[in-house]
Amino acid sequence: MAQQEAQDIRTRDGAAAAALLAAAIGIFVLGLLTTLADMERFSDFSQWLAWDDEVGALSGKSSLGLIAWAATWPVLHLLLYRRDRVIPAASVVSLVLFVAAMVLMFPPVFERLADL
Amino acid sequence: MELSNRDGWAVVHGLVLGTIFLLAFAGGLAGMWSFAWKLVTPEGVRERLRRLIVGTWGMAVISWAAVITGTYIVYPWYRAAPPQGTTGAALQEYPRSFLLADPSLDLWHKFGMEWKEHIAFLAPILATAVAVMVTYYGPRLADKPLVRYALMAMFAVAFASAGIAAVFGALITKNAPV
Repeated sequence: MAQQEAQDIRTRDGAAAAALLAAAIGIFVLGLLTTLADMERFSDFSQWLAWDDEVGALSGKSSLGLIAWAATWPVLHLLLYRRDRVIPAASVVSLVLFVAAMVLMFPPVFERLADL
Repeated sequence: MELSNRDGWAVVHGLVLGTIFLLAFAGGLAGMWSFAWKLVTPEGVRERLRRLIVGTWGMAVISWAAVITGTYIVYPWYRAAPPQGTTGAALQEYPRSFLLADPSLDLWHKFGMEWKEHIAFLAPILATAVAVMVTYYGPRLADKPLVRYALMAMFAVAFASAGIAAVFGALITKNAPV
């Protein structure tokens, strides 16, 4: 009975929605940090992001993005894996986060925002 | 003819790992697209699933290897600061500074490398998410077209980000080799 229920849960799309959303959140965090690290007013933060001296701020930016992805995925999975038909909504939210991340990660944009 | 340590790592990072990832994409996408009960027999689903799991996990591992070697082995050579007063041909040992010192080349760093070094991280994140989901759903994926479409979209974005990183990597290396 319990095995049948577990099989049934795996036919629902909540787990895929969680994976999609978590990836979008990780990518958005990376995009946001890319812009923040380039801004003059956050120069201390940018220096703090140099977790590896040879790699510079990229080490902290990428690590925090990966941590955000890895931390949100299990949480979202637990919240969503029993639900079904959530992929369309998750896709819309993920698309918004992804587009925002792409804008924030695009050099002409974050260099333009650097002086703010 | 000689291949230095730096040349070797640049080849492993870009030509070996990067190229394998990009070449494997078409197979993975085709596998996911046709992974539907209406297109294949139950035996076909089982056979394709094994291939899909191995293929997607292989791509995830390769994308991690490419990003880690690029970020922590090749990139430090690229961004190393030259000693004070270094100019001319000696600056070529320091690719980032070499590009920034020449107004006709500085966009390769300011646009190309600045974009490449960040967007490349999308590939392992998305490829890993796809591999985990293919393993999680298994044969049920053949019944879930919306899930397959979502995974294919993630796979396509992983490919596009790796492609952008690969193109700029090759062009930047042509102008200022590590």
